[in-house]
Amino acid sequence: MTPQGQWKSCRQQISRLLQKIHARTWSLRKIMKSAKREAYLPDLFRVVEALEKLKNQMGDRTLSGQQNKASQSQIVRDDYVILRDQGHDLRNTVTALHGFAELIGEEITENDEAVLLPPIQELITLTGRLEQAVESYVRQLMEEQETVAPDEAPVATVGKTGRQESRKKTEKDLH
Amino acid sequence: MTETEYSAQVLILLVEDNEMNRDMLSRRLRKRGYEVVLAEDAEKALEYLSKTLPDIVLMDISLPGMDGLEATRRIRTFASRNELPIIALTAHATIMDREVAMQAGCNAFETKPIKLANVLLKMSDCLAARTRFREQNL
Repeated sequence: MTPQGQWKSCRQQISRLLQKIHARTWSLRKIMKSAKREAYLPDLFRVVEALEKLKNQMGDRTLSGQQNKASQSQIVRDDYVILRDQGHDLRNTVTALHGFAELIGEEITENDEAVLLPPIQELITLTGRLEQAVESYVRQLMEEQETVAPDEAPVATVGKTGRQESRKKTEKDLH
Repeated sequence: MTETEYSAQVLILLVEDNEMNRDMLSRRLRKRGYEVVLAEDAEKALEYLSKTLPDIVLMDISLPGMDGLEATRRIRTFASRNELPIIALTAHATIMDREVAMQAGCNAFETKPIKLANVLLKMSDCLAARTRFREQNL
């Protein structure tokens, strides 16, 4: 599979996971309300908020897999933007998302809330898979920056080759 | 010594600017018996460290203003803070990033998204190493 094919596959996987997590989070919220377990809702809302933030950060265009018509340089630019502007926030959000899901899971287990355990475990599994998918996507993009041709790199290059400069910027901007 | 044996007596300084992660991580650590003090930036962390010596620092590298690397370098300039274990929590994922963090004075390195089990393991390792160091230098 070409790098572009791999990226597209990664984006589609992330998009599918986000949609699944969103659906499961809302159904879990309903279960908690009907079971009168509102104590868990604030944390669940934080998961929802983190999820919405993540979806907004990644952007529909980037995640929808609708980049077939985009030029190679446009795809590279989009992926640079993710690394440069969103890499740090993205990782923070995924950390919060998975962490809160696990936190709710711990409390449900401690309080012996058996009815709530299966859906939250599914949420933990899904957020864990999202974590892995995002990691894989970011890793692929980082590796690919080393092979991007200088004229495709959207970063100004003064005194360095495009490859050196783009690599440096990619690493620096992942903060 | 195991993680459980450590947790009852360990004071952690968590330096993290992201409010959700700060809340999530501190709650999960407190549930395991750790005492956690929070700092949202490097300046507040340094101010706290000028008065108090925690057992371990979890240091986010990307902080507003002074970053976690510079904060770690400054902590290491205090002789009394030389042995303080510092674990970098960072979105930087490359080997070079790890080396930079270690050169700045961090004892360990955990990349985001953070896995709590990994953080707990690294905390145990750092605390065990500090205990050995102290015993050897008695």
